[in-house]
Amino acid sequence: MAGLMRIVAIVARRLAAAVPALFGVLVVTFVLMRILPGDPASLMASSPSAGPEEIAEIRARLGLDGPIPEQFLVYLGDLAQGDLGQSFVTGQPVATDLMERLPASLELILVALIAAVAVALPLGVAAALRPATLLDHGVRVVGTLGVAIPTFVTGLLLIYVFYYRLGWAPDPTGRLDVFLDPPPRITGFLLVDSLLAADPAAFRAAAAQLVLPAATLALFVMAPLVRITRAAMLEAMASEHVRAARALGIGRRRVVLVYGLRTALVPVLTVAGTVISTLLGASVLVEKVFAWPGIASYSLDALAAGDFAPVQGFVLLMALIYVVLNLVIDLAYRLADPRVTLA
Amino acid sequence: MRAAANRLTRGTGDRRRPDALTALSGAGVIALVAVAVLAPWIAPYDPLASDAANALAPPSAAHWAGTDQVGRDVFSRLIAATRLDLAIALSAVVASLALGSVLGAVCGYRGGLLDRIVGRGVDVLLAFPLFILAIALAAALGGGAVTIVVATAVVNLPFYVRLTRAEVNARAGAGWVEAARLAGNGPGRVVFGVLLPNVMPVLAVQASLNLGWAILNAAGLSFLGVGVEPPTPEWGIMVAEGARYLTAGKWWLVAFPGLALTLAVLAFNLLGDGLRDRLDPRGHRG
Repeated sequence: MAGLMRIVAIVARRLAAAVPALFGVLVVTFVLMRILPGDPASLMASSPSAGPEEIAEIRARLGLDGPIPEQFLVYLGDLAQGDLGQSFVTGQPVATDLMERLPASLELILVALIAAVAVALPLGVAAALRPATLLDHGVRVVGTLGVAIPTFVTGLLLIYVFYYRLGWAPDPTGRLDVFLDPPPRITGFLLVDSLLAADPAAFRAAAAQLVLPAATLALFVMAPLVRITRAAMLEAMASEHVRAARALGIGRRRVVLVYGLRTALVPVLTVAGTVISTLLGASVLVEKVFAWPGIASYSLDALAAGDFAPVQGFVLLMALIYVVLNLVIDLAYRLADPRVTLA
Repeated sequence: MRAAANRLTRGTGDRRRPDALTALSGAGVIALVAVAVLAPWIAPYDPLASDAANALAPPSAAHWAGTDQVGRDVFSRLIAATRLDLAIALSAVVASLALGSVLGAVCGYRGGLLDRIVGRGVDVLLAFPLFILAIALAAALGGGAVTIVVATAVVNLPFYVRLTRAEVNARAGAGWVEAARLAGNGPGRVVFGVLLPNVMPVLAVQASLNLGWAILNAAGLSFLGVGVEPPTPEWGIMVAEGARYLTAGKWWLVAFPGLALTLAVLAFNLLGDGLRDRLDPRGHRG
């Protein structure tokens, strides 16, 4: 109970600490949109030949005719009501569009993150336990090459090999075969919804579509994770307390997993923020390569059409997701390292 | 302890002598720069000249990397792109290094209001996932090579500010800094004449590690269509254009620019790793 209270207090404190940066994020996104080329009022006008009166009227309605600070306040007020503006391309509120597509993006990002961690941690540990062996060299090559091959190139090459050459992967566009009925939308996560609907065919199809994009994304974030895990584990296994544990005759399994890995997790978690930043950024490229119907594809399409409200909403949403994930990492960091005071 | 230390450094060799990998990556970087400088003279064809009769031809003796959808020689385009991609990455890194180190040094030495304002600004930039911020900046500034340079430089700026600030701050109270001050040097001379040169090796390592990242960043922006525009030869655009013909079996349009990108990033990363191991053994991480 006391532990829970403490966690709540930490979350509250961290959220409060994130407020100035979040306000800065709002200012930056607002300023960027004021710089963006194109005039939303003329885009919204009924026809390209709309008269200046009509455009002026739309400008007034959008609050685009006031001074900049006033416009910023209007923007903040709209945000407070969950209003991110209107997309000219889809004709819907941007918030609605984003919420509709967010599960697709999150499903891809989370599956990739879990896969990357699940492969990187054991590989890094194994390499550190057997330094200078074939396995270790292999892991170092993966760690070095993985950050050097651009995500979009990895994705395209996987498509070439597994779809075009071998025919193992389904058509690399979208989340589900177009001839398949999607399961009823409950969470928006196809893997979860198809299970809830007890529809194994849809689950298999959704999983098959997900394999290549998730693998592409996972490969890119796996490399830094493997590198840091290996280095941190090497250091942990050489530390005094691991030597002491060994000398006390504690079993090797326990020494490695409890005394070694737990210590090694702390430096791994310190780079987690960078890894998440990379993950979110690379997901944009992966969505583009695989025509994945997530929030990144949505805002890139809007950007190409000169429709900027979705871009603004997307950038804001990504920054929010990043802040939240950083908070989660921060909590994990405090739990992993008992020396960090829970203040 | 000795055994542990040996195990940590095993495979990295003697720190004073560059190991084979670092030497190889250094040679790779020199080769890249040579290709970039000599591009117009070594390209076998005009990178913009199309030849419709010979479109989408696979690699051959005449066209080493094949031809693209309008019959342009892919190999010549790769060479021309080397110049542009390196120029973009280098300008971006130099810009953020110059601005970031000056800002960071002043903040680290003086502290005070400026330090707090810059610190807040850095926090805000770091609240965005880097590449997302780069996309937003590139979109707002409207595409083109200069835009990519600015977007990449801004996104990178926080790291140089923080690093320089911390390094300058750690040295500000040292005896030799005190001596420089007592010798009658003004704060400007102490910061830029004494402290900053002392921090430069650390910054140089950061910069060389950063170049690979800057190349990926620039190519990624162009791939998304917010950077350099076709028909300019640029690695990211070449991959984006080639992607449309990939599932028709035209692998060379993606594979060769992808390979060029990978080799360039690899060369800069390995060189940066090697330099870091030599200059800053403390920061050795895998």
